[in-house]
Amino acid sequence: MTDIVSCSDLSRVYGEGEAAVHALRGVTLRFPAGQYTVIMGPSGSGKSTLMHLLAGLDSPSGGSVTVDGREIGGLNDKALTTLRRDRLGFVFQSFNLVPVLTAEENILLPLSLAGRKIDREWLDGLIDSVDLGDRLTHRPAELSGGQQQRVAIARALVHRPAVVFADEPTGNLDTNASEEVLGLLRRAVDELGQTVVMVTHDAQAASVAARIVVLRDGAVVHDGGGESTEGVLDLMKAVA
Amino acid sequence: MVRLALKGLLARKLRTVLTGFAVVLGVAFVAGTFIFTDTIDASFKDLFERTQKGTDVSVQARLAVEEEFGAPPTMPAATLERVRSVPGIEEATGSVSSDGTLLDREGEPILSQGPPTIIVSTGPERFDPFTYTTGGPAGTADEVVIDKGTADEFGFGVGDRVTVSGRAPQKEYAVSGVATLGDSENLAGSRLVQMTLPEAQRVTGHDGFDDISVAAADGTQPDALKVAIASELGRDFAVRTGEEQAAKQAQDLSDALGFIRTALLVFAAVAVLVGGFLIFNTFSVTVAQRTKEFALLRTLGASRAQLLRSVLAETVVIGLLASVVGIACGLLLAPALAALMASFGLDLGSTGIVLEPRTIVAGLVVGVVATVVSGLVPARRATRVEPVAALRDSVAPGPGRLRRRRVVAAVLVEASGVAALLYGLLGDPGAANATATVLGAGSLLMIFGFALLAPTLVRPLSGLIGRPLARFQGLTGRLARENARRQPQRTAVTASALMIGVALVVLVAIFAAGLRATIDQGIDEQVRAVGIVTHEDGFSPLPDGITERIAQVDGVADVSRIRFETGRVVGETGTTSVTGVDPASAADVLALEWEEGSDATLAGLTEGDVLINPDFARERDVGVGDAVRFVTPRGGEVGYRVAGIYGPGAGVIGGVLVSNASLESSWDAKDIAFALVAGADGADAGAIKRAEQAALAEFPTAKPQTLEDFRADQNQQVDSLVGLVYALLSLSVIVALLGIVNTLALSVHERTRELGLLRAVGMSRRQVRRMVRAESVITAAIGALLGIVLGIAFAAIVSRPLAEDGFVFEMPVVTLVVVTVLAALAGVLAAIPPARRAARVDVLRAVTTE
Repeated sequence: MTDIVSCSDLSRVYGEGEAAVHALRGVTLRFPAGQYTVIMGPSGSGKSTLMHLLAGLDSPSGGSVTVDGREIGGLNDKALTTLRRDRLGFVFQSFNLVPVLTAEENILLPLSLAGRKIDREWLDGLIDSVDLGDRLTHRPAELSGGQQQRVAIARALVHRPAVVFADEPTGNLDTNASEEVLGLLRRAVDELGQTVVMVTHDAQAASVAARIVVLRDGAVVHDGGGESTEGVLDLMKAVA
Repeated sequence: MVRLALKGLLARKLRTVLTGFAVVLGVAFVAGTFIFTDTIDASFKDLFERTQKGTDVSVQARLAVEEEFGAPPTMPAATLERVRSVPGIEEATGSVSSDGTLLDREGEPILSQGPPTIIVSTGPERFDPFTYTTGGPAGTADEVVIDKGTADEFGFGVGDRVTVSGRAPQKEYAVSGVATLGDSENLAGSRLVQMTLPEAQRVTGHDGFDDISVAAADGTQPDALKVAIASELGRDFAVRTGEEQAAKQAQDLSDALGFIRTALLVFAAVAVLVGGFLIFNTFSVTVAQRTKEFALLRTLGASRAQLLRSVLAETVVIGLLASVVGIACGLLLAPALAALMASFGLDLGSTGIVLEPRTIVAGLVVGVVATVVSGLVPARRATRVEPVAALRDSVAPGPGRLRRRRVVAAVLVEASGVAALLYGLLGDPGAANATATVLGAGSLLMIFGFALLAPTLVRPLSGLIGRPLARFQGLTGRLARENARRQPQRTAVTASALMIGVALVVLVAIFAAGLRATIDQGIDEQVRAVGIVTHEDGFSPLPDGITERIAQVDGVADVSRIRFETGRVVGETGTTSVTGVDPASAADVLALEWEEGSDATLAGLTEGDVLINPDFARERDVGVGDAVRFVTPRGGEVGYRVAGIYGPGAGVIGGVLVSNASLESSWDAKDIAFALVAGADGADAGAIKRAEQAALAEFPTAKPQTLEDFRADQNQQVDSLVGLVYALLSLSVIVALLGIVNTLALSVHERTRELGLLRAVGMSRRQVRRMVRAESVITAAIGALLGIVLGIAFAAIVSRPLAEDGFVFEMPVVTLVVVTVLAALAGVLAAIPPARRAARVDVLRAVTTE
């Protein structure tokens, strides 16, 4: 299988000299297409930093990142922005949506920014699967937390990106909504062949993934297959 | 709490500075105006005291009818002997002074639209105010002394020849001396030409004395001498001590300047008003952003009153600091104002800078009050924050709610503003001050009414303006439109600041267009003449002998003289302008509409007849056959019989016409204001003008013009004045634009996370900039649209009473379009700093959750 995203000897240092913080120390990982990967670790492990670097939101201090066949290290802001717009999808923990746009407009955001036409059938199907049919004309303020995240997921998928990056997507949700959101991401991988890389500290969320990568102090300490929720908890205890 | 306030201000230095800047500009304008006019006052006072050197008592003829800039009539020569007969006098001398014209080395008249050139006569050394830097006083009828300012500017020195013209035809003189008045190089901008007394009397046409200066003998008190002389001369003379005379002259000039000061203060008030909107907005936004901080304080036990005092303390501090800086800037602005005035022809000349305590107090009061009042409503909002808000997730301020009450209130305020304006214009609130206050209050109410209504209009207006933007720019345009609507209150206040400036610009533009149209119409409808002859400077009287010369020019059928005098209808307190015409030729040059009478009435006007316009007839309830009596400036009374009533347009002549013969015999009128020239059938206006110019070669101050020239001239004067007004309004517009920058910057800061999200999802930097720019353009365009409507409303109301006087209301559509386009461009400019900030948002920081 081809690697959709990969990084080689990736490191990120903040500050200088004695006050320097090594958020990532020489991480090398490969993410094949169509896989659901979860990146976990205690606070300060560097998992968010890793995702930011993989997504082109941040520049590494050392090493390289390759997305969809292109090395992104030398790209300027314009090229990076275009990359994010056309080839990547994002779901954040909160504040995913533009408050002044309706749900539908939020979903179409990547396409509108690119000036591309919508495939109506594809869109309708997507909206069906996230079950938002009757909320399309509502603004984010009128949607529940779970509904907002579903809109965010739909947006992340609407332009059929190479990778969907999700940063603690269930962090602010109750159990039911969390299950819905995780289910959607799972289905995106299974039915649409999407690649998903999710950062989380929630054991239950991690249990839907096919691959679990654990970081500690900026380095990879575990890279294995999926686990049940209890399995994940054991893993975390072992790593701590 | 005050310490907290201060710390808060320091922490947000940039914001504090931006807020304060608006106040600084407003206060600078106010302070600059006062400094400018105080400086002129002081220099005039000093100079007038100098001209009264050696004078213990000063005698002039008394003006029975007070006229603006009117000079007292010349006293007969015998008056001097009568004065000398009074005991206690060491020396008494008579002098003349009048307007005249100097010619430069090329033979061109030296003109200015401000201070005139004054011809003065020599006198005994004890009364001579001049200091001769080179040479000495004029000794013969062929010598003159020139002020140093003029001498330096035009390259005249002792021994050079210079040409001077007054009433009498021009004549060449030798410069016998160059002089200053103490340190001053001229009389506060007025040029001075000194001649011997007989020569001055000949040139000015004043057969007698305009002034008699008296030096008291040792032991005689000036006051006692004044009383003695006054009782000798009687009621027809004004006798004052030298000090009183200098003070009166300074006061007269100061009163005339008062008009300029008031006008400038009005512009300053506009700048302060616009600044107030800015402060209101900024404080509203910062208060909203500090909700958590206030909530925390409330949780810790701060009372509502303490919170209010803290925020108000911030406003006071900003106001104080800004006022101090503003006053300092006023010192810089005053010379700039002087230069601006001078560039438009009002060269008032001044020395030094006068900073009165009153100016400092006024600046501080204006600055602090404006800041505190503007910050009051936001401050009160700060107190309404509930403690529990500290515990909730910080959320960007929610969408503003529009209450229906506000719309009702807005309409009420607007209506009362319109009513006040109409009352002030058509009703009669009384003295000038009262009327001005009513008009000012009415205007303010109208502005606030619109400002209150504005938030309700933001939605539809931004939709209207945003539609082409959205179509054009796609998503960024759409986002911009929605962002403008997000906080309609904030957008509205920002737009309102611009609205004020635009409204005034539109008002002036409409007025100027109307003025030009009225002038054109007046000339087209009332004047049949082929040409007009005036003095070069546009208001001095024609030199003697001009009309006879013109009458002999080829193609000229007739020359009709026009005189202007100011009189008072017996029994009234106000003055009336009276125009004198030559009945024989008037009908050939004037095309009057008649209510009663005809051109024949005009041609047959006798010395006892008067023609009036319908306003005059109606106000005094007189008609054909009735008697009207006037008091002349000399104090005499003249009676007339109404012979006819002519059409309403004031135009070139006024509302009361009598024959020149009557003015000459009963009013002692000497000045011809201008002459209208009737051409022979088929004569070419241009050719006649050229022939006139040739015939008047000896009178360089005479200016023959075709009617077209005259029209163009008048229009150009309107344009000049309009240009000056625009320049003065520009400061307010700049403040308003700064308001847009400020609001936009704050708004961008608030939306950091949203911008980060957009950038993460793939919005390029250019797209972000376009979005912010579009938002700015929408806000500016809303302000412009509201301003245009408000300006048209102002113009329509204010022109109501003028319409009766023949004022033509014309809508300068092109100007309005230009204003809108400029506003949009201004929006683009204003967006540059905030757009750049928005595009540079650190995506990572923005999307990272804590």
